[in-house]
Formats: sequence, C-alpha cells, structure tokens
Amino acid sequence: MRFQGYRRKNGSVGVRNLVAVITTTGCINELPKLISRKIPGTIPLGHNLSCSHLGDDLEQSTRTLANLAGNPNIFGAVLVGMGCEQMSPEKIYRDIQKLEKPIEMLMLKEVEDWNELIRRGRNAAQRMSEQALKQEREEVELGEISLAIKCGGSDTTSGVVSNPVAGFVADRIISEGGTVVFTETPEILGAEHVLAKRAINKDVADKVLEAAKNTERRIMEMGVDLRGSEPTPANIAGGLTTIEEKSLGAIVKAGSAPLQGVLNYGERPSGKGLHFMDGPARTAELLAGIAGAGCQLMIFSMGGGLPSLLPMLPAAPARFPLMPVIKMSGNPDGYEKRKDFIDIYVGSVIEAGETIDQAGERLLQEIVSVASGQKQTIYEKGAYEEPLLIQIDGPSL
Amino acid sequence: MKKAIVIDLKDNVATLLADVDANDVVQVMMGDKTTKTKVQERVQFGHKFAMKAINKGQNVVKYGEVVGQATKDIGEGQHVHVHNVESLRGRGDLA
Repeated sequence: MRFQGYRRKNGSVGVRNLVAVITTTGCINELPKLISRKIPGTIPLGHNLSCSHLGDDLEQSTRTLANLAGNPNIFGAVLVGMGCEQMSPEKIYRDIQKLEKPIEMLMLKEVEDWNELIRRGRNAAQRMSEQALKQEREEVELGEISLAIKCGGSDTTSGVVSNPVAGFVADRIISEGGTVVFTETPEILGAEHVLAKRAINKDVADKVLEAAKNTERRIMEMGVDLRGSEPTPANIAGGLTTIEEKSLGAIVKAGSAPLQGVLNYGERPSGKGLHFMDGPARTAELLAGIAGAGCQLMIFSMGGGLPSLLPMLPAAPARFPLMPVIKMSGNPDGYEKRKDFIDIYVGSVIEAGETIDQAGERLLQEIVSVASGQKQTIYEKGAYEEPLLIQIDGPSL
Repeated sequence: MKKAIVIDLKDNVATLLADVDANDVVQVMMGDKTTKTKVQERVQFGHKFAMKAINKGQNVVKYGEVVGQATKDIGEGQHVHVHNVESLRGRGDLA
C-alpha cells in the first residue's frame, strides 16, 4: 500500500507540511503565537516549562522539544526564547540541525527588543513557510508511517472491538515495514508480563517490566489505592472493573508483533516495528511525547460514555497541530449522540456482524486518506493556540 | 437473542453486548462456538457476568489472564464488577 507524503532531507516522510515556531521557555508562550499568526502552515508551539525543573526532567524536556521539530510533519522550525532559560537553546538548535531540518534561532538576549524580536521572527517564519509551500507530496510506501495508538474513554467495548481493530492495523503497518508506538505505562499494569513475553530479547522484556514496576512503586509510595483513579469512574460505569482488565484490553491495540524496544518519553525509536514508550496515559502530556517519537499520526481508540461526547480529546488541548488524530469508537450504545465527533465507527462489529479484519481494512483506508491529505480529521480542524504539556517526573520548582 | 462474548477459553466471565434483565438467556460467543447462558440479574451493556461460580478469594479471569479477585461468592450468571471483585495491583492502601 502507498500514500502521498512529504519526503524530508533526512529520509522521513511527513503527512502534513508545517513550520513550527517553538519557544525554549514557557515564560513567553505569547511569542510563538504573535510570530506565526496568519502565516500559512505555521504553528505556534508554546509549552509548560521554564526555569522550573531539574536533572532527568531537563534532559527529557530538551530532548522532547528538539524531537518535536524533528517530527516528519514539520518542514522546519523557528526557535525563539529569552536566552537566559534553563533549557539550552543552543543544544536544542544543534539537535534540530542534526535532524537535517531547516532551523533559525532568535533570542531576546541578542535582539534586546520585544517588537524587533517579533518582526524578525515573522520574517523567518514567512521565509520558511514560502519554502515549505514549494514542496509537493510524492507517492511513498505505507512502511514510511510511524503510527501512534492510544486508547481513551475506555469501556469494555474498547478491549472487544476498537482496540482489536487498532491492533489489526498495527500488525498491517508493521508488516508493510512501518513503525507503531504505544505508551501509557499506568495502563499496562496487570498486562506487562504479556508484553514482556513478546519482547525480542531479555533487555527489552526487562525494560517493560521495569517501567511497570516503577510506576506501581510510585503509587505504592503514596500509600493510596490506585482504584481511586484507575480505572476511572467513567471506565467503571462502562463496565471495566480493575486496572488489570483495563490494561489487558488496552494492550490489544498494539496488535501482535514482536516488541522491538522501549523508549523514554519524547525519544525517537532507532528502528522500525513495534515500540512501547514509557510515559503517562494522560492525553495532554502523551501527545507531546509521542509526537517527539516521530509519529506522523495517531489513532485514538474510544469506548462510549461521557468522554466520547466531547468534540476534543479527553484531557488534552482542544487542538494538537503536530499530528492528525483519528478518533475511533466501537460502542453502538448511544452512538447517534456522538457521531459528529468520531472519525471512524466500528460498532458495526457488534451491531452488523462486520469482522475485526473488515473494520481494520476500513481504518487502514482512513489512515491512507488522512496521511495523503485527502481528508482532515475532526480533531485537526480549527485553530490551535494552546501550549503543549511536556511530562516531568520530578518536582516542579 | 442478546449476545455476550467470552474472549479466551480460560475466562470465567463473559462481556455483554446488550443490556439484559434478570433471567434473560443470552447467546455467548466463545471463539468459533456459541453457547447459551441465563443471566441472573439486570446487567448493563459492556458489563460482565460469571460463566461459572467464582468463590470468594478466587481469581477472575478475562483475556486468559487474572483481572482481579472475588471479594464475595459469585454465582453463575451474576453480575461481576467492583462490588464483588478487587484489583490486586497498585494497592498502596495495603502496603
């Protein structure tokens, strides 16, 4: 199978062609907005972090910001900042250069004039946008796709219908030579041994088990019962009884391919195939991490219930510009009320005897249409102006 | 007839694909086979019922794996959920 994408200098292929205006500090989230406003295909990327985090968190956030610019959907980036922030703009700049992306950097420290900084930033973004608009899509193999799969607003139909459909697609993308990344460490608790058995070697198996163990240890140290938040009250209303049940249903979305590697948050996989990212389940932080991993699009597999009645993704910015997100639901119960907010409906497996494979083939076609730019997803439409949330694990100072 | 699904043959619970009332008989799909079971009480779409009796302290099995432990004796056809099953993971309250 093939799709139409934007081939980058480093060999990766974008499904969108965006110029990112990225700030190195959340002190000035207004700046990327002012710079990118009304410049075609240009997106502002503010975020939650300034001089407020330490050690591994600093490394994690620096890596994530550079890798967001490295996402195949990004043509090039304009990096803006203060010049006094804790994250090193120079390091981020060099890392983006290594990814062979067009990059310009502007710091208030050098320009010393806010309005001049905006003017220069707009000039840089304008130049880059003009270059980006000259690039055309070309036909490429489906194996160029790196697909993220997440589940949310889960109920028992997730594990029975929409996650198996996602799993079918995951296996197909991998068999075509592509990459699939899934994450949500809290939602592998009770299923980590199943994933570990699928690891390609002991090192990868140990990393999965370790990720689950660390998350569970931190919960235990709080002296609380995870059941206060996992499964969520909405999950329980939908019939999910325990985190083990939720997790075992959740990992079905990753299909059945061997597990090639475990990634840190915001880290790019070194090879193709199935990868697990050790990271949070909360959508807002997950989106930045998974876009950093270089995924060009994401499937959001949902059940029914209140979260599925939202036009946006639950617990996420109202829009996320870096990757199109395809919302899928397999719950026929009350589907009429949410049909305007679901890109692909697979409740037909329950209602109309469609097989998982048939629904999976439909989802694959949807992915090709969205990747080729013939279709915009519901979540993709509209303007985006909210800052990203980058995960930190230590204290926020 | 209303339907339910058993995901793995080792499972002792089935997931309902419709709302059922007490004493409804449902068609249960198990791999290539189907069987019929009477559900003892009103159970919602997406929720689970016991395919056989599960005694207090016994494991509840779905996807062929342990998803929790029964906190009460659960009879065949009874609703299986948070009122009679507890998770064994992330129990900082017991630590």
